[in-house]
Amino acid sequence: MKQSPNDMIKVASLAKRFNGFTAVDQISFEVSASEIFGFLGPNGAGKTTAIMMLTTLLKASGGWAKVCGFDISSEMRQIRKTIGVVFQDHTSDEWLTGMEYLQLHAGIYGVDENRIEDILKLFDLERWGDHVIKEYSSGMRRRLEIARGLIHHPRVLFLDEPTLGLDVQTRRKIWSYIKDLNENEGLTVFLTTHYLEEADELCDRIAIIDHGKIVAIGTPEELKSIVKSDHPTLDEVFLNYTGREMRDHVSNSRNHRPPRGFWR
Amino acid sequence: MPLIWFCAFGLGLGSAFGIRYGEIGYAEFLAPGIIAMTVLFASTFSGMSIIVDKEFGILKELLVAPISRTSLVFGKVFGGMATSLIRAILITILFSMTLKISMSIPEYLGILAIICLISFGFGALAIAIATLMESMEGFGLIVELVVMPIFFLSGAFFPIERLPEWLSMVVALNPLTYGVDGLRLIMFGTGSFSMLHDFGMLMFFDAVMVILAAYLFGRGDTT
Repeated sequence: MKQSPNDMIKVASLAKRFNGFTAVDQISFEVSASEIFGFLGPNGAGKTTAIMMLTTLLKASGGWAKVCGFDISSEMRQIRKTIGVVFQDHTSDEWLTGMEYLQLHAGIYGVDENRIEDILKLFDLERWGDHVIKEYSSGMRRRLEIARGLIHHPRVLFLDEPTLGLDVQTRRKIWSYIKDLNENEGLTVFLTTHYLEEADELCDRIAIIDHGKIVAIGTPEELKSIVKSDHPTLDEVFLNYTGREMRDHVSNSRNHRPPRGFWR
Repeated sequence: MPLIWFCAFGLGLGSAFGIRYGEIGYAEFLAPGIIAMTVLFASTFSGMSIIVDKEFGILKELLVAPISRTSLVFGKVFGGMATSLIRAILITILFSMTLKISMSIPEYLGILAIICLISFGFGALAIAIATLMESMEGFGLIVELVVMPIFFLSGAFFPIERLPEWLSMVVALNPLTYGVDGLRLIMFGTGSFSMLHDFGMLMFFDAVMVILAAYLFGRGDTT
């Protein structure tokens, strides 16, 4: 793999093992600037573990990765300054108002207060700033959390299952926010999903990940062209690579506890 | 809660058995212990609330932010200190009115200093324990196995001079003993150790605990 100066994320043989169980198995890929890159995989494929390593929350057991040119195992502070992360579960403190929540994070990142108004407007939440997050719907809360992830103008935005459990309207709305940011501000986005249409709609390139390994990587069109069918869909590509078995043995995403040693 | 303790034991037990400790009655003897208890509970509960932050993911947002782990520990400890101070000051004012204790400004400041020292150390201890715990389920167990024994074996209830030797060893190892003793020295001028001894032990405990908490919380940060 050649190193290009445009690589926002570069990953080489990255691995994570928990007590003998391999969650991420030597994955390698790169994401270039202003690209929307998606990790597509069934539940428990290792998507969240990969994102936790790239966002400096989890130590890698092998391989290396660079985010915005910084090493994930030694330059954590620099990475944390340049990335925005939105987690799979709701992470906002529901007893704060939307405004207080953003003020807290603006303070942490040293961002000007004016930015809060702008970002609330951007996500159509300006009328809700004074309400406690408890009163928000799931979709509003997700929008607020994405706004929080963007408050400090990150160069890369990590989204872990950004539209999990949201209705179709909200999901499409969130897609349009992400696309606009990518087109207007050149934001690089790394997202994980197990919704095929989300990957198809949003991503410039997709990596299909299963059992901790990348089994296919390419543009949605490239991946579809692999499957010999009259009207190829990503669905078929996905099943082609990951099999048709249901995944009952893996931990469910609802009760996703951070694994042991998640402290860094 | 501290008031119930005080009424039940201080006034009830004290007057029923007519217990006295030197110059002072049992209610007076118990008052510093109740203040220390308030601080102990407020600070440990605050420190343990990190488990809740962990479960709800609030902590993850702070961990991906460019702030050091140690500053998060200090923030939590000082947060617990703030709640401890508010509660303990209210109780202290109440005691000094009902028990008619007259204290000078430096004496009040001394009490505040001891409250801060107790709160700091036990807040840090609670964070250290909380980082090792996965969920809220163990919380009650920790309170029963750690917090309650610390409270009961601190000389809050009984003078520590006439204890069996093994028990007095345990009491001497308990940092809260020195907090209670320091408070009693300031409030009533009577105690088991010198003021210097009390302050020294509390500061030593605080230093060890905050290093432990910062180490456990920030583990892996440098590799």
